[in-house]
Amino acid sequence: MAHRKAEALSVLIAGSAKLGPMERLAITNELREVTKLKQLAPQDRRNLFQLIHAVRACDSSMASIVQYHGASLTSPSMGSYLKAFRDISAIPFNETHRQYYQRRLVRRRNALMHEAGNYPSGRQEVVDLIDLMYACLSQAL
Amino acid sequence: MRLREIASLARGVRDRLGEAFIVLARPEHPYLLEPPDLLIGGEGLLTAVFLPNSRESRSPQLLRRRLVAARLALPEHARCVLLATGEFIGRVQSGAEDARRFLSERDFEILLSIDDHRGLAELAASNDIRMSRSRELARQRKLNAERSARALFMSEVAERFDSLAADGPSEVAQSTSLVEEIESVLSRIAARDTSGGWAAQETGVFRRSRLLHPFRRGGQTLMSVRTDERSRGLFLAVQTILGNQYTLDMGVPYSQSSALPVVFPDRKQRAGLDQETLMRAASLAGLIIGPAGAPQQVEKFIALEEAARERPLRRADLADWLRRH
Repeated sequence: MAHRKAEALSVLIAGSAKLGPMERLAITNELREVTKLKQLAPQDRRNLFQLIHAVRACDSSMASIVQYHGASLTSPSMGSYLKAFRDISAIPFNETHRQYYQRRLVRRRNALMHEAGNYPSGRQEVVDLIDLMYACLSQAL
Repeated sequence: MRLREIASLARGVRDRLGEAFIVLARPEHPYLLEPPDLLIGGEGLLTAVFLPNSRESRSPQLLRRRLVAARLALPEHARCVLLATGEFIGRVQSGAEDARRFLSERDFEILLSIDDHRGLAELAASNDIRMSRSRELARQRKLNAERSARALFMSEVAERFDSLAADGPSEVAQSTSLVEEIESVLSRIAARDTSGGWAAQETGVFRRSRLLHPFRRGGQTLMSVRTDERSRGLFLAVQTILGNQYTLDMGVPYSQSSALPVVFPDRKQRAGLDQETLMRAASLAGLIIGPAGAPQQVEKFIALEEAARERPLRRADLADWLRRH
């Protein structure tokens, strides 16, 4: 379930030494919205809103992690954060991991966030995408 | 009953810690098939709590493999707590059993009695308790990430191996049990590539399951696995590798084998555990999931995996390699 994954990710965020107190609060609040929306109808809207909150939480977490390690970015985008993770030696993350998340997460996230009329294909896609965000962050936090 | 106990424990700890901390019972984790029972995060502190279940109480090496995976998957500053009965803690502290297969009290940051909810809340909020070997743990996590990436890459290749290798299902494979056919191929490869020329089947814990048949090929473990609706075979393969190929030294997991193990399922997963979670959990253990239900592709896949050890293959190289072999 999407909210179970968002809750579990919240624990890692709240317990991360790489994020400051204000960042942790803002990101866990964002993830809490995923749980609050679990009864929202119609389902298309719930799916999209849950993803928007999860994506905002993920983007902010990634930016903060990169900043914590003092790495530079070409642009504030998920693809750039993944490249930065790969280049930070303290993070157990390499080119294979970058490609894995680029293919499975970033491309779909960009289409959903930027293309009119593009909705998650169903509940399972929401769960899968939040799971991928969680998996990616779990390696870098 | 156990689930109710853990939920009640989570509520008790949550009440004591207040809103600054998030307490979650039975948390999901995208790289773990058996996560810690409780995860507590707040104020930049992370605590993973392990309560031995009945099987782990009887066979503590099962708890050890759960701890190995958690140490590899969680950030190195996570504190691991054993919350158990006095009898179990006594066994850990006395080192009464073989420490290599069992656990040492030093594998955890703290040991607490199962009813000490207050103690657990206090330590979760304490900044004084730290993973003492976090630098070494970070180093091993980084090394393991390289193995994990290779396993992930090869498992992804295996998913597309049918179309890449362009071999149809063999006549033999259709007429006999696929798992037996895979075992026969693995046995032949193990005998051919192992000094002395005999097919070495794994013994001990490995051999106890009818779902999993492992073989030794030099320093590498190859396995055939029966898949079922609950994905028990692949689940067991991952857990077996975590149990057999990693040791723990003061909480830091070390891989004992340089060659990555490969498991060949008898058919594609259709239900049960989510395929992505299985693939990621397997990769954490350095385990490659080979082509499913394809005995005729086993040998070629093993050769490809060997080639990829010497020179990292890029996606673009794959089709070229397969054309030449």
